[in-house]
Amino acid sequence: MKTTLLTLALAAAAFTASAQQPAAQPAATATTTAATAAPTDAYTALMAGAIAELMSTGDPAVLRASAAKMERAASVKPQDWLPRYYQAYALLINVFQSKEDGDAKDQTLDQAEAALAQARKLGGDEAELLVLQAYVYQARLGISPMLRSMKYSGMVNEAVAKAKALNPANPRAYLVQANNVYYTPVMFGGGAEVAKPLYQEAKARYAAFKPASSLAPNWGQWQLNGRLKAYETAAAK
Amino acid sequence: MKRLLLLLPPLLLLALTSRAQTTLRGTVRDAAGQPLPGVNVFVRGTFDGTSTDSVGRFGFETGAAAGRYVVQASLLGFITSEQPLTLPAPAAPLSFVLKATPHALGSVVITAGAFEASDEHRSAALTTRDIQTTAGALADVAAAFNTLPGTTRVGEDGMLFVRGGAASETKTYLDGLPVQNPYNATVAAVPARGRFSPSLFKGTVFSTGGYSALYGQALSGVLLLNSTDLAPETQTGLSATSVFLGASRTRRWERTSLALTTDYTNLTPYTGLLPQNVRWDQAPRGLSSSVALHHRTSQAGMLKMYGTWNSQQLQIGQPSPEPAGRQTVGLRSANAYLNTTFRSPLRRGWSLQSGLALSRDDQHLRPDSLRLRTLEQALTGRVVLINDSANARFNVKVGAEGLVQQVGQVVQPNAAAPTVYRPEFREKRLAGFVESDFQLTDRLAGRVGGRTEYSALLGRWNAAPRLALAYQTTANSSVSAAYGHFYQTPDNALLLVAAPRLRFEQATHAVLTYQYARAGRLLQAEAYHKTYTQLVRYDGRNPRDPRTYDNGGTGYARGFDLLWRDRKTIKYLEYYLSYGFLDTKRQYRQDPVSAVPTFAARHSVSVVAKYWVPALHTQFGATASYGSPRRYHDLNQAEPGYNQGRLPTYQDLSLNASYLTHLFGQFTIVHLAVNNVLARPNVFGYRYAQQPAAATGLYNRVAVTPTAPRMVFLGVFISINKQTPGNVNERPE
Repeated sequence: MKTTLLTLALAAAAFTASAQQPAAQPAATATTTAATAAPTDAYTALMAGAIAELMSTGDPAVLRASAAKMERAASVKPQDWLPRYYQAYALLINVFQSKEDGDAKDQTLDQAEAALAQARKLGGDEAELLVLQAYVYQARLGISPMLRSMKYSGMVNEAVAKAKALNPANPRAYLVQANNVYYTPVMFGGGAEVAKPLYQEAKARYAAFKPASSLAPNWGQWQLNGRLKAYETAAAK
Repeated sequence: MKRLLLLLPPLLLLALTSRAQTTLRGTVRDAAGQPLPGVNVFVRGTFDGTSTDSVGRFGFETGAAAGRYVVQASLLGFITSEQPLTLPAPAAPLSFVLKATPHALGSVVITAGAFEASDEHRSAALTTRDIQTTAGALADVAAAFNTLPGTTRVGEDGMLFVRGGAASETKTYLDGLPVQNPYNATVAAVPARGRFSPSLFKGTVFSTGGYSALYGQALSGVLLLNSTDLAPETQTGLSATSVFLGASRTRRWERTSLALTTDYTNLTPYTGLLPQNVRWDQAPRGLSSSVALHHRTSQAGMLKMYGTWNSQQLQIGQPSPEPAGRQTVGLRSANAYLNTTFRSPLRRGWSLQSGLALSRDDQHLRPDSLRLRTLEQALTGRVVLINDSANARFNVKVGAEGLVQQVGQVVQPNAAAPTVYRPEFREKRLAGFVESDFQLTDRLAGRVGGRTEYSALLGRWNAAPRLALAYQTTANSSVSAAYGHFYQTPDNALLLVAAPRLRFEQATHAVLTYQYARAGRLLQAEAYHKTYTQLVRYDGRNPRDPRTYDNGGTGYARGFDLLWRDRKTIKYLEYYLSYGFLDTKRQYRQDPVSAVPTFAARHSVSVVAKYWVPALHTQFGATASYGSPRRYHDLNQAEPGYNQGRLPTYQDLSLNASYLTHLFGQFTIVHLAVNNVLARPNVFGYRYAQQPAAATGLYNRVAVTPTAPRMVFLGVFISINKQTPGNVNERPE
């Protein structure tokens, strides 16, 4: 009896150790960390690690690997929408970072939208999904601005407006909107100066925002800080 | 205790082995044995896995507890493969073979005979913007498609002449409904413009042969216009140009949009300022308005109503071969068109597309002392049921189309005399069609269909089979072929004289196409062969005598078309090059023998280029066109023959520029276009005198030329209150 217990204890210890091992390193640099959350099961810990890794990279190859990892996570907990959400996010950021041609990028975005649709089917947070959808539209626009700006800039606005209507507290809606204005030329009511108050509003929203769980979407703060910092350095010059 | 201690090492060992990292290695290949990179290989239910490298190899460690697992290898476009795994695992490498997913319907596109202008399909030859910005086209749909291979530029007419076919052999469909009068009314030798603005459409398909069974009544080709769904945003537009003033207002609600437009056209100031080849007693002027109401009834359900009214008048003095030296033609016309369509998903994978259109076209033509009024009223209806989910490998479309049409003329040969003829006819036509798109293998797809029509006026049936196949040769290229029979009721002018005697005219098309499309470049080469039978012919000396009319005319057209488009090689430059070779002869209408028709050019070349200069916020466009000599019937040629005369070649260079700016804080486009910049005196044909001159025995003649040496268009278009600010750093739409 004792031996069985001991074996079990050892096994359990080994399991926790090996489970936390991959999560340990990135978790240190992570903005979202499962360490603070009270009871962490293995899935949560591994997801937290995978999210941290995804959020800390700009390398297209790593982003692809991240998307693959999220697909694996979806096999662990098929009823959870978050792996599909992050899979879409990873593919989307990959499009912004990669040097592939437009057709390849469009195909990646097709995959991102397929993952997004799965997340929606699993009953994911609609406001977050709409923000990510708006971000996908921005990526589509960026592939061929000459042909697509008219169509997709309206679709970005529409998706952001819907997200805000569902959840005015979601800071990412403000960030995506601010980016849209930022990249519109000055003479058309866009540009850095017009976008500044929008970024500042986003900042206020981020300050007040509490993610629903340790794994829930919580990205954008870093990007926003970068933008705001750029304003400061510009002002200092 | 001792025993326990003794037991510990093996226990630890056991614990460690069961928990130890097992390394899984292997390769993934496709069915042909080629290594597959980027495959996600993992132990299902765990995070343990990796993606294969560039040679299809993978290796990863798993810390999963001992037990039975499944290793999964998945990649988009392939069927996921699984292998059972018992941990701790043997050291043998794993080997996966992934089979490609059976391609979904529509993955192989049939390109034979069709040019598409769309922003959504990557294989489309043009974008919707191309139509609006093609130099020389002045935002006219038909003029823009006239730069594609398979068309002949017939400058005096302005309509689409496809592969040796007359203009009436190409039919226009708006949202699936045939349009009876797609061009604005005009007089001889003044080119017609399309009735519909290209900005109404999100996609346009121009088929130059072998088109689908869903459409009919066109011996040569169809132009399919698909209107936009909900207007994107609320805005107001104002335009002031050298030839018209316009205003538009668009209102967008959540599920509904309403757009109103009105344009007043008057060429009087313009024709006064710029030199003209003709005398305008009354320069063209007119008023047109439109209403478009679109309502989204459900996720995929849409109700659209589009109504347009147009009235215009002009009077032109053209050179005449008769002793008077000049003939005067007046025109007054009014047109009303209402198109309502509804589409909605039904149950069990079926969806419905239906529509109803009403049109009324009234033209008063006054060539010298002749008075001619033509009134055409028509009602068309259409219902199509589509099942896309009948099977993953094929779909089904079944539909019916009906037409009720009334055409009447009042002909007064001399305004001074009371004699009046009133020819008229009424037609009821019913068409039924069925079609299926199918995918036989990953590379082979097709479309098979049939169409049958009954005309009450002709008292006849027809049945037209259609077939198309496409084979994907590589990821970027395909070969497709289309074959079909096509029927058309003879033109209104023929029916007015001899309706009950006539039958359907018939054509048979065979088309073979190769398309290569990759990263902004497209090459399309197409060979075709058409035969015509049952064409209406009559005695040119007695055109009013129905007894001389029969369906004995025949003809053929064969040739090949080439299109090369490049949007990639030079940044900001888009260009395409089109060449068409056409060999055709026919005997129809008043032709006494088989001859090359006057509207066919053996060689047609167009080069269209657009260059965006970001620093100037301006897009420059140029179109150069060449047409080899067309034929005409030379009454004075010593050797007798028919259509034996050759016109000079057709050449045209047109330029345009669109400047994007901000006026009064609103997004503004300034557009300048000059057609026929070099003022080349193109000749479209000759008018011969009725009688030979007594002195020489020769028929006097005058050349048919453009109405002006050049056409200059300058316009300012302002969009007010756009929520999404227009971007001057991007090309104009």
